[in-house]
Amino acid sequence: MEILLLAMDLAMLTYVIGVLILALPIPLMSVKRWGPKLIADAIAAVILASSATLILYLGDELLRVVGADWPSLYAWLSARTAALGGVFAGLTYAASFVKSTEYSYLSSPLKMAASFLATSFSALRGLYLLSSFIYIYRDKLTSIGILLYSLPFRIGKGVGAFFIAASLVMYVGMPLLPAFVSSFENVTVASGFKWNSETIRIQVIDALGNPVPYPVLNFYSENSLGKPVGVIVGDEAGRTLIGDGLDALPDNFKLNVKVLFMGYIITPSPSVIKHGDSNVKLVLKSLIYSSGAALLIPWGTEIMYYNVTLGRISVDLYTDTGFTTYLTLVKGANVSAIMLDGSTLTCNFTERSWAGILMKDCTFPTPSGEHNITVEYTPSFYAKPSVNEKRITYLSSIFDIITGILTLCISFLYALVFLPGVYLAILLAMSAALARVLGGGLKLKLV
Amino acid sequence: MDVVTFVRNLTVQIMAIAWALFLVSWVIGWAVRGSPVPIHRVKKAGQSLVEDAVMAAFWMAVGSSIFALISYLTSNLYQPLPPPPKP
Repeated sequence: MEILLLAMDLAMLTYVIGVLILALPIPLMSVKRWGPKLIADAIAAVILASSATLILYLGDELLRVVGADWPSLYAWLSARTAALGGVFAGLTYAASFVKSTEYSYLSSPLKMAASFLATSFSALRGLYLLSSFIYIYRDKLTSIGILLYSLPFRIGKGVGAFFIAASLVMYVGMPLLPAFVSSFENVTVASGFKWNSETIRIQVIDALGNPVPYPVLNFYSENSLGKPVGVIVGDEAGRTLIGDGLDALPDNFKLNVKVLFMGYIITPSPSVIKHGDSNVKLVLKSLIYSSGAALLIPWGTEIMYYNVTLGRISVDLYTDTGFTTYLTLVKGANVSAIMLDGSTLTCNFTERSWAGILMKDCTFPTPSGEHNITVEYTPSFYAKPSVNEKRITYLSSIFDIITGILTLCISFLYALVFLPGVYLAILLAMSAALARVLGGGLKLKLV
Repeated sequence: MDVVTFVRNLTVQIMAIAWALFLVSWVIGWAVRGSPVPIHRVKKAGQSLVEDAVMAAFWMAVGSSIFALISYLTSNLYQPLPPPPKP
């Protein structure tokens, strides 16, 4: 009110100055022209000053007509902040998490995505600030606009008209921002990234169904059998899992598996793990294992009978052709007897080391037909081999994940930076147009 | 002295000066117009001075009435506002 009072007085001053100029005894048209101009300005200023409450009322009325309100704008802004904050926190966590894993190369695109979100945060903060400013200081903005408008000699006419227009247009326009953004948001349909959360549980067992400790599973892609795409070590009970957020598996994958145990490469049955499996038991049909000792027999050998106790393996095997049986023990296990069909065999052990484990091997021929092999020894433990694990990572799925994350972040940028920016530009253009109607367009010609 | 009082005092002073200037312009205008100089342009300048002075006097006289009228009209449209300043 104080400001409006001052505006009224200033308008009166402008009017009197206009009259004074008109009454000057100087016959110069260029000077005299200012008289009527100032009188007209003063009248316009008085009209605006006395209809200030009318302008404010008009804003509320327009808002009611368009069916928008400020509380819902704030609700929209806080919902966006919550969503953005959640994704931002997740990305920052993921970026710092992957740094210590073999996926450290992912941290850079993740950081880039997080920086997009940081920009969106700044834009959101700007929107908060601007909307709060308009909402709280709308009447002050209008009053100051009128005060500037009523300054003599058109000093603040343009900027005053703009203030009045902006206070009205922004007050009506800002609550419509959610409607504007939502009408354009769906133009770019975010594909939505999905992290392949498929989980496949795997257990490796020997020919007798006992778990094989610490098996090293080498996974090979369908096309190349050269270099494994993943190397995963199972636990003491031969269990492990792939997927579960640890591996980046493509949508339809098919992986060949080979199991490394005690330095032997054994093809399990089944030898393929594919999309859709959930529980897989990999049977090593050529291995018989018990507490530190392993017997390796050829594929296809029939096991007629077996009796495995702690420190003793006794099996009846049948084969059409003769073969060589491999007996491998960890270094701590000492053999007391090896018997073939009840007769003691002498076997020369050779020591070797594989993946940090010391072992000893011996081989003995087994003729065709059904035979019993019995090994008696002091039981020992098979330690975990020191093999570098390599989780399965498909470049294409990594690319999908990065693209998904970036698309998500760009959709945030689009919805929170680009669209509000365009909308604010539209509002500003409308304010400028209204300001021209109110008599803006600064034209200061004193002489 | 606050800004409102200052502006009001300034308005009153300028109003007084304007009335004085009106008298001066009116007198000079008639003097030029009635001078024995047979130059049409000079006489016309005198004429325009008189006309402007009369217009100025008119606007000065109706000034507060116009402000009061505008305030009255707009307050009738919505609600009353501060009274118009009186010079």
